[in-house]
Amino acid sequence: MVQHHQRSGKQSGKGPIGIAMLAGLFVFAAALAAWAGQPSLQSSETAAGGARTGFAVAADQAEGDQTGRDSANGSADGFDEFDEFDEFDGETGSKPVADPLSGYNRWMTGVNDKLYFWVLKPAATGYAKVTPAVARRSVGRFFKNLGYPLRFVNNLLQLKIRRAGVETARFVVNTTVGVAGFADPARWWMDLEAYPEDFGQTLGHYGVGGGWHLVLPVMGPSNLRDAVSKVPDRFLNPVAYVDPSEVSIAISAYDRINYTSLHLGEYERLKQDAVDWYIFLRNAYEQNRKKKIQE
Amino acid sequence: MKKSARITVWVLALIFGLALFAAHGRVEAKSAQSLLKEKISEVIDVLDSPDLSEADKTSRIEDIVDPVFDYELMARLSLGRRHWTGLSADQQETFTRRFVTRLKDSYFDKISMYSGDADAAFEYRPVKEQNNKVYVPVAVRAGDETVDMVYKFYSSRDTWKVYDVEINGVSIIRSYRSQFDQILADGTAEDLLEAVKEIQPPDENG
Repeated sequence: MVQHHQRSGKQSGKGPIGIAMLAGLFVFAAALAAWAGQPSLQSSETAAGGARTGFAVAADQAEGDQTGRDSANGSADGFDEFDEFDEFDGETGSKPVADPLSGYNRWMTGVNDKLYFWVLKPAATGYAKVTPAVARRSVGRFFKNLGYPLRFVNNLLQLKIRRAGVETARFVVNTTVGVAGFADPARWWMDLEAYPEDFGQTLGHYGVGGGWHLVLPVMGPSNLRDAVSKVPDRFLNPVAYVDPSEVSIAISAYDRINYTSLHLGEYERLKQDAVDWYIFLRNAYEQNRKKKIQE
Repeated sequence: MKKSARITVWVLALIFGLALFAAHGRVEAKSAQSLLKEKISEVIDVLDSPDLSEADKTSRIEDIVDPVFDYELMARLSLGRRHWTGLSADQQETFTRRFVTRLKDSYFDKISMYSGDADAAFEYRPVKEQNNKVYVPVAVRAGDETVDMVYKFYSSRDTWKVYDVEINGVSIIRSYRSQFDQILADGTAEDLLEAVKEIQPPDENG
């Protein structure tokens, strides 16, 4: 090795420079290759369980795995041949959700609607009047930080190790630097985003279908899988361990009112756009859950 | 020395080859993404201009957005082949007109909610393309929340047109379609036309 080096040095004064140039070029080429390959690397990371777009996963699955798991909203997008409906139907069609409880579900959607307009909205509006938005947003971040155990455990259960790590980093940074989670420096300065996961998503990840659509009191649209999953989810919610349970419930209610105060008007606008409010909610819930499970 | 020079040439060729290879095949998709970027920044410029009235803003945004959206296709897709072909020509025309109005109203209503969100940031993710379609995902970060959007384009002659938008995984077309399916399962084409008539003003009391 040393000999060789000396020899090339003797043979030509420019040898080492040439080697250095080559080395430099090699690094450059490697960097370029990395840059060129970046998008695909990113999307494969997505498929492996890394991304926030959802679509990337859907498309990867469509390419790789046409027999992918069944879902409430029709097959994930094979792109077909050209004929207008043939071409787009795979993407825009939707297989109806199993909904034998639709009578009850519609009724409960109506009950929840009244709850929103008669209880939740007045409470949130009053609260918003006396509490500045900055404070309410901090409270929202505080509750989000408390969701760490749930997100961490369910990321682990799905073997999304990197995300579980990101969640832990977020929790450590936000609980300390972010003062008990009232601030979110992990997102603001370190670009670390939360990866929401719950037990329903974990079950979905392993192929458990949603089952019948089910509208829960207060909590709104759900399905059998996700409704049952709320039980284990509760064990990972620190608020649930507050004693006595009245206080625990009050804290959860406060979380809900705080959240609503930051989203006033959104419910009304969505409802006004819908042709059939119940069907809109049912479909949106299932589409959104499907995306969350895929990513 | 000669040898190393030759290697250098090879490496250079390899690099340029790689670069060309990387650039090729993403040219088309890039243009859909850059079209979207362009349109979004134009719309935001309009929204951020303080001396325009709401009506002025709306008409300017319409001018920006209309050429990229294929509203008629969206109307057809929201019904699907079976229901679309089940309508008479007259009904198809009425449906399309009403649906498009509705779609636009709802879009402008949402856009009017954006005001002074100066910290909103748009993060473009790698596009997905297949045949004549491109999905352009963009994450909108505002405040503590991130909304994942996907603009779905298809190539129409020599330009890109949007035929669907996904918001947090919820496709607008799928959403409408599930509702129209329900209406037509329970009722007739006339019920459908009645349902898309016009958006009711927000009901403050439920």
